[in-house]
Amino acid sequence: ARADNAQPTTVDADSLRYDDLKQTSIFTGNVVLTKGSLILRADRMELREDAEGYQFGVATANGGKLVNVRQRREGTDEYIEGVAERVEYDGRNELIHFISKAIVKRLACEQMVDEVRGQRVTYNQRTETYTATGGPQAPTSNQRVRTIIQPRAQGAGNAPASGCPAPANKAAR
Amino acid sequence: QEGPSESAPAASGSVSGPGLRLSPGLRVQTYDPDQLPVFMEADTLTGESQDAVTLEGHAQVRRRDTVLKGDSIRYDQVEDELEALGNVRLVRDGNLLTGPSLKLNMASGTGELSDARFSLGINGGSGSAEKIVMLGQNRMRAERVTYSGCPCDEPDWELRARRVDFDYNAGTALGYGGVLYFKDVPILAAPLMSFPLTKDRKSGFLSPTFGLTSKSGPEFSTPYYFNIAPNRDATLTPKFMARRGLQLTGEFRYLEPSFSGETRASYLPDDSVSGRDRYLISSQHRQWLTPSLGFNWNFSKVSDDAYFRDLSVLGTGLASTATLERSFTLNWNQGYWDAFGRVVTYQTLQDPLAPIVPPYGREPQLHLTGQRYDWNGFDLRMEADATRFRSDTLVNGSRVYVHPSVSYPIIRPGGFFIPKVGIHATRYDTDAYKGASSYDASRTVPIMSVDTGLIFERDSSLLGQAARQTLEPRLYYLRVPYRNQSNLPVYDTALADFNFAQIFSENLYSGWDRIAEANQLTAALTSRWLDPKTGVERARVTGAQRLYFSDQRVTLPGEAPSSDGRSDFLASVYGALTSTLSGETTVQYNPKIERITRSTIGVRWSPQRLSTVSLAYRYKRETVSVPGQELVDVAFQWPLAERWFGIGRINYSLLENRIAEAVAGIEYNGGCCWAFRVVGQRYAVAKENATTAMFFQLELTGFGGIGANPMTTLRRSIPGYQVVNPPPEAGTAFERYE
Amino acid sequence: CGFALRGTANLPFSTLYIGASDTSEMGAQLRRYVRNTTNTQVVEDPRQAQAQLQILSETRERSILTLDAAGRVREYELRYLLSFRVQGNGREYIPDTTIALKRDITFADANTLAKDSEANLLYRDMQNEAVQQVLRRMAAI
Repeated sequence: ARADNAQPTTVDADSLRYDDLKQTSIFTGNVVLTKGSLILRADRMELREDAEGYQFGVATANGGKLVNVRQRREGTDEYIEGVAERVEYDGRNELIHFISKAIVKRLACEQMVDEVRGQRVTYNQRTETYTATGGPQAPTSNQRVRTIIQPRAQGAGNAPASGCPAPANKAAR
Repeated sequence: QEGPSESAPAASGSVSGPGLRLSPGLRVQTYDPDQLPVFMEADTLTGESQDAVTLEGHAQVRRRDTVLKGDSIRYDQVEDELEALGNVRLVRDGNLLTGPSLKLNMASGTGELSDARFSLGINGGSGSAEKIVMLGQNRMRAERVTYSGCPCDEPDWELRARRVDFDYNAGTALGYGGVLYFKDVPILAAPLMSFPLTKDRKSGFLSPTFGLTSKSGPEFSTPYYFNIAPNRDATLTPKFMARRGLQLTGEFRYLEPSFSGETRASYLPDDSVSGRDRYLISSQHRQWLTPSLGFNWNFSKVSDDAYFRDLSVLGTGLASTATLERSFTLNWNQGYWDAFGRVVTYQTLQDPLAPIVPPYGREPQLHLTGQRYDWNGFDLRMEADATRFRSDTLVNGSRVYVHPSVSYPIIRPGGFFIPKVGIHATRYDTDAYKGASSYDASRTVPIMSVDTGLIFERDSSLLGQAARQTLEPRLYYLRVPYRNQSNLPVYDTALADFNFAQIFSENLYSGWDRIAEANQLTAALTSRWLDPKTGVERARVTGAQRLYFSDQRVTLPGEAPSSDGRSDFLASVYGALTSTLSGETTVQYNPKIERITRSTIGVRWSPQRLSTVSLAYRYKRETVSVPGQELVDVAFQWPLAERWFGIGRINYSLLENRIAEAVAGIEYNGGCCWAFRVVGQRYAVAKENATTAMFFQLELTGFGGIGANPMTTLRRSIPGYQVVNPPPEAGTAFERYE
Repeated sequence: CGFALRGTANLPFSTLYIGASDTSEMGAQLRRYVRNTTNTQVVEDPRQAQAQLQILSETRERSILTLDAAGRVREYELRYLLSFRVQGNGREYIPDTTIALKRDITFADANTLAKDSEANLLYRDMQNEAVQQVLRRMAAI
């Protein structure tokens, strides 16, 4: 994820409106933001830059759909995939906030290794960790944070970079 | 559940039919703990590093075999370690552990819990400990612990120990430096104490018994049970008697595919009352060498004649025996033939006030029986016996007899007609005895009989309920010509009791040294009321009498010949009037002297659990050879008040105005995990000598295992007795779910 | 008065296997009475039998009934327990049932030997009565 920060941010969308007053650009319709291995899809996104050039984005989806974020973990075949009704991207601290109905999964070779659900899940790209809190919109029966951790092969740690037995290593879309 | 699955395949006995089969769903599934997903829940969750997660606020970690709750939990996935703080609750192996903090390694199941409380799923026991160390594989160690195996909220007894090791697989616990408290009163202390966790057979202490007997003063015994193997166990009972010293009783039982047996031995060195060693040995063993050849022995011996009079042997049937059998038997059977060879002798315990004649030893006896049924309608039986009778006080000699017989039973639904003819040939070789020289004699006598009867039926009713009533007249004619047998020795023969079995048998005497002359007809009439749906006999009335067409000249020495025309009249009534009330009476009436010569009346009423009363009256008229008897026998177990139960048995002899045997006791069921019994027992042990004994027993459910309980005589002396505090149901690991 | 000779009992199975050896008195009696008082045929091969009479256990017990004034046993109570069941083509005609019978027998230490053979006579008498009760219960199926 550190490598991703050095990458340029490109955003495709149906339409773009630049709001000079708030210094933010507002993308609407099939918004796809890519930054290195980070890919974010949403219906609407506001993106602005601060003085030092760090980008801050707020993505939302409408009609009950969820914003989808996917990022590869540094030097591994593991991916983080998260969905939420609203995603806030904080470039300065390299944090991604998944807010309400937030589900963040860690996939190794497309196999779910861990999953966190909560009202609000914050993924720290730099330390590759996440924190989660419960709340009324948590996608769990009792509105609390719920995590599922799949067993690891004994002591295997992360999936080795090239160890995925998956037949075809699907290129990131 | 850890461990291999013990899925017993459905029992595939020869029986077909709808037998229950083990549903695969019910089997205990095995799994590899490393392949289990972990579910976590909390108010907030922070991932510390790659694989460590901290849960804050009502944190919960759940895996298939473990549930852990706490205010906060840190989970390190690589080490598979959990650390919980604040209101920790751990449910694992069916047990619940709570405490302020916990470290647990999920993979190995090892961990620690400080000043914790625990409750065990296996037997509902609970307790607290300053430190609990989980050792994995269903084992746990608790330090400075109080534990009670009593599955209720307010345990009445507890064990305070320096350390207790629990092993759920083996179902046992080992306490070090433990003191047993009952209602905060220390009653037992032991450096090492093993006790069972489940109710199946485990080594451990059985309930201790305190006693007070008129012969040995205060006594205290605490049996220890060794569950050596599923088919072998032993009980060692040290009994300290104030007046006599320490008696050690051991009992060893074994059950193997081809042999089984039990041996019991007691040893009381230097009994301070009688000043000598007292011992008892009683051993029984049965073994099959091949499917048709086997042997067994039955050996009992005591150190002296007064053994049973002085030492109370509660719980064994030996208390009032005067002749202890010692026999070794070799038996063989093949097709229609059955044979045994044996040596039998007796140790006779003499009571100086009521001496008895020691019975003959049979050294040896060879016996052969052949039975061939339904050979073209005939039943062929053959009995042959050769015995050498030996006695120190009576004449010795040997007897050989052969007794073939043949019958042709004609059976029809409405009746039967069974003619039978037999020959009994005997030869005696008697040794010289008190001046009389040795002699031999023989006797051959035919025995002919015809047994016939009809069975009528009709629908009728009994006490308002439909019943199928039968009416069964029966005639039994017996013809045995007279043979002078007055010169024949008497080894194993006596006048048989006169009852419904004997009235249809071929000889007035039991044993073959006398074969009574017979030209007699026995007439009997029976009516039964059967439950139409199940055929169970709900009531029965029977009357029978024997008509003699000749005198009875064959007698035992000292018996007078009789020339009655008719025997006593026998009548019996039996009725299961309701499901809880049943009664039976048998009366024997002598028409010549117009007197009842023998009668028994018995009634039993058990309206509900733990309450039963049975009354019996036994009367026997005094005759020249048989002492009179008039006994009232009351036995009851009855709830006296909430939790209090009275039990009693009084066997009062009206003739001698003396209690032959009395048992009285109070049982208190102290809630769910203890019961207290006080039992007094008084029984005659000699002419003017009776033993009174008092026993106190505190039974702690969940502490004492099963095994020989000295109170078993309660069950034998009070028909229908039920345990006041049934053992608790065994818990399972699946009992607790949070 | 309504009494009539008992007729043949018709049992709901035409072939029966008896789980007691035909060289034993009980086995012989059961076979003879089933053959002659019911419409069922006795077969020796359990697989061909529509129903099976299984003798589960046969126990003999003896306990002290009364003591005489000298504390010696005066009467024993002999108990005979026979438990059996009848099963066949998927049905349990008679579930596990135990018939318990008891007889009193006087006792005197001097004639221990005679009382042994008398006890055997009483046990055989109880066995015969138990067999008759089994047959009556089967007739009532």
